[in-house]
Amino acid sequence: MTSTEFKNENTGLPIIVKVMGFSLSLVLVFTLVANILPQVEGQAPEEMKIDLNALTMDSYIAMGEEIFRGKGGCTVCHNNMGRAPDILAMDMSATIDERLTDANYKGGAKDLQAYLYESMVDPSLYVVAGYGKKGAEHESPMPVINKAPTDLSEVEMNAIIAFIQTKDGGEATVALPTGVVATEPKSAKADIPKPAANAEQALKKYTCTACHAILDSSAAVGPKLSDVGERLSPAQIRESILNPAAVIAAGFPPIMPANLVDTMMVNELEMIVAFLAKQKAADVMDTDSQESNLTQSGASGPVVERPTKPEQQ
Amino acid sequence: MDTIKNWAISFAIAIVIFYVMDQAIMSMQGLPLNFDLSPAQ
Amino acid sequence: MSLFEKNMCNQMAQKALPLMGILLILFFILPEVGLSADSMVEAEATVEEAQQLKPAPKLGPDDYRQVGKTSSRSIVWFLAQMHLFLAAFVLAVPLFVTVIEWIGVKTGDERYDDMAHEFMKVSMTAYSLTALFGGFLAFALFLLYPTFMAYMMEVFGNQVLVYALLFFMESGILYIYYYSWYALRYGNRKYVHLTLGVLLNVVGASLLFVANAWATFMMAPSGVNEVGAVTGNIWEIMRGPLWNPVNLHRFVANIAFGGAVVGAYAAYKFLSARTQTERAHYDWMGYTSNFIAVLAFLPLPFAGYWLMAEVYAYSQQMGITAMGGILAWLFIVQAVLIGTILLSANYYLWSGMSRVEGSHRYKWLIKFIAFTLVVCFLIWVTPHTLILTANEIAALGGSHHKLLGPLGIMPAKNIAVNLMLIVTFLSFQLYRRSDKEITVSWAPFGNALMVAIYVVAIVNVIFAGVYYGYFTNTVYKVGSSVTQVMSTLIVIVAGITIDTLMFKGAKVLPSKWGNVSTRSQYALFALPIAFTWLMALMGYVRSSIKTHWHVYGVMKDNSVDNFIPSIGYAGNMMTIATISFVLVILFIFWVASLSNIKQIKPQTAPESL
Repeated sequence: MTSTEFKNENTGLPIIVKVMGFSLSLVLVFTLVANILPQVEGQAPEEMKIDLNALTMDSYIAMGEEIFRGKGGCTVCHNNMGRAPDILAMDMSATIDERLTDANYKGGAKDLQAYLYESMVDPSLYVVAGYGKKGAEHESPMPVINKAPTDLSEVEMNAIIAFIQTKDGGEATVALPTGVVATEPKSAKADIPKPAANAEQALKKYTCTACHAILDSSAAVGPKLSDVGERLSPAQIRESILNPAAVIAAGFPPIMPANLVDTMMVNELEMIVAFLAKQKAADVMDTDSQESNLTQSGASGPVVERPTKPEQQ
Repeated sequence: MDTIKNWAISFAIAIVIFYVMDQAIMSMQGLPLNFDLSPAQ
Repeated sequence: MSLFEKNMCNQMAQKALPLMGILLILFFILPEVGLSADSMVEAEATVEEAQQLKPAPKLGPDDYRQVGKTSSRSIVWFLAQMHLFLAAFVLAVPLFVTVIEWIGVKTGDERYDDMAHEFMKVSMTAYSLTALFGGFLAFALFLLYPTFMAYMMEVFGNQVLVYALLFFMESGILYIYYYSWYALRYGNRKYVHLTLGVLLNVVGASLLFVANAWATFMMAPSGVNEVGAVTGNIWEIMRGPLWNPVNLHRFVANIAFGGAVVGAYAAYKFLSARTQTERAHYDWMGYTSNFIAVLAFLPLPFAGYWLMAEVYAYSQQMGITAMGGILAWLFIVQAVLIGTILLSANYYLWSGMSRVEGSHRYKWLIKFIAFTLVVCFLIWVTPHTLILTANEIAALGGSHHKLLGPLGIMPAKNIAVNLMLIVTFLSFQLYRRSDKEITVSWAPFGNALMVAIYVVAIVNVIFAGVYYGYFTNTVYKVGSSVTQVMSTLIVIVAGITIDTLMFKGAKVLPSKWGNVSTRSQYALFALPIAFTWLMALMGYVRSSIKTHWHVYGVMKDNSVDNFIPSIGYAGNMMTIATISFVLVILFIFWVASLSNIKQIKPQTAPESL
């Protein structure tokens, strides 16, 4: 056959049209297939808004079921396809004893609630036989639920636990989340320590007994407080605590901490003042004490005369 | 006779190749098989 | 050439091979060892950074931009897909061109060299369009997702500059390779040219692997801690669990895709041929392209399986989302596409048998192959869950059909796929045998062995699928799919080996190139169309299994597009991309042909005195 004998069969439409037509038709077949299938959009999980005031155990359980089927992603594997135990079809409370006593159980749970919680935060502590990773039977392919990407909160995980406990007629042992929602910012209240319960504890708390003879201390670094009620009025006692440098007792070093005004709580101060104001020598006027105050030498600070009788406020 | 010999040997070789492959591939994945190819776990 | 020059050429050629070897080692082994200066600097930097670890930013609505009311996701989707189509093509062509060129050297047949050159010409135009779409994509990403891109730059750092530098190398070597074709045509110079081809492919593969790291990082981040702060060096960031599976899959798939596209080129030229010589030339080109496409296509399911296995190993939840959850229907669509690919490829091979007299002895097998293909395709396309109304569910007694339901799960599908691949290879093998009369003495034994391997392989595939699939637990069921794939691979490897040995000294019957039906050429169009749409479909899966995350588990997607689009919407997007790509490819083919057209200088009347 020579080239001149060749008969070009291309009558009718130009090649480009035929080719484009064929290509378009084929592509449209594929597009059609894609469009007649069930159309589902994979929505991102929404932040759950929980009204804790209106929450009842029933609604909490319902929330747990919703999370189980939705945001938690549990039903991706926990279904009847064989990837993971079909939790929805089985009664977990019936199998719990068997699991906890299994030789391969490595966790520390003692009941269903603790076990379920454990299985969410550390799934590999126990893997039901046949569901482990390929080649590593005792490693769980389940993701850690309170971490990304699932990232469920404690409230959400407990809701799931409540759901699983009750779906076959059992009792929910989880506590309902209380009114104080964990999402509120931690206020300064949380940082404030509790005040001392009484004057004795307050005195110990602020280490007064390290320098002053009071309670069971006989320290003599600072003036004796076991009879301070006879020497000083409540106002003077208060001033000595809040502003120790205002009046230094004769013969004593000016070393009392000046920061009690910042650290001591108001009610602690009042308790101490009231307590110290009542400290008087038992029945006997120790007249010597005043002399000993005046004659004590070695004091480096200025000696100031104090009125011997406490001023009444 | 030659034909039958050819076929017999061929099938024998083929069966051996695939049997050994099955055993090897499954055990490499940590899924051992018994001699009758049933799961050993 | 003087003797001195000849010696120089010899020495150059001799040095070329070790140089090739060294470069191959550098590009492939260095990443594994991680010995680059880059990583040492990174390691020092990491110590400092560890002291101030910066977590991934939490994105809010202000971190996204839109062009008018158009979905940013759809813009990036389209541009990325176009870039990937073209990039796959320009990376694939040099791969098989180098091989064809080398076959030309070995056989001494000039046709191979001419075909290789013609393929490269087509690829050159495509190269600049690839870069254009790449630039466009980069701009779109930085404009529409600035905070996300800032984070990616934070993670990948200088690696993006390495990517840009690699392009200098790619362009340089590409231009030299193409334009020196006829300057380095024969003898030792040809070996220099082949070395350039190998180098081009090494650089191209490096580009592919570098870019793959970005996508696989988004799916399965590595080298960062739980909140996305960079804790590892660049190698740890790149070498995530999905990197190498995607590398292998894309590398092999590119070859199949490239072969299919040049096959369309050949088919187009065949249909518009004016002379018998042209027809014969383009028929032969079409056959070679189909050969490349099908040969590369056959091991792809293995690479895809490895990828899915790694996805499951990384996160079972992610794996099940892909294949058992919301994206499961997608794999039914994939079945339709692969069914199209296999039927087209087989149909082309059967049509081609009309070129050779010796094909008559095998014609009887075709109907069995066709039957197997159709039945397996139907099984593969059967879903597990049916689209039913409430009444229908009540009538059926459930959402799954009792008989057909079990065909909807993986074991049945694995049997179907593997059988389809085995019989496709059979078509292939029959075609290759059609034009030969085997003369070796052990031919009867060889043929018996081949048949035995086919039979036992098919039995093994069915046995593994049915027994482990339905009668043992999940882990064994999943594990048995590897034995099925291995069975298919054994058939392919054994087939090629036995045939190569049996063809020694065989009598080759003449092939009437060009003597093939016009209808068969449409099979060569169907192939790249299906491949293209399939590529887009797989891109949709890859992106969607991250669900509502930009970087899985580390950076949430808080844009308005943070949902997985429905398959219908995705299908429409993929169709737009595919049609656009077909138009771009036609443009490329046209430009490639343009350089052949020489306008004849108009004859002017001679000036007479």
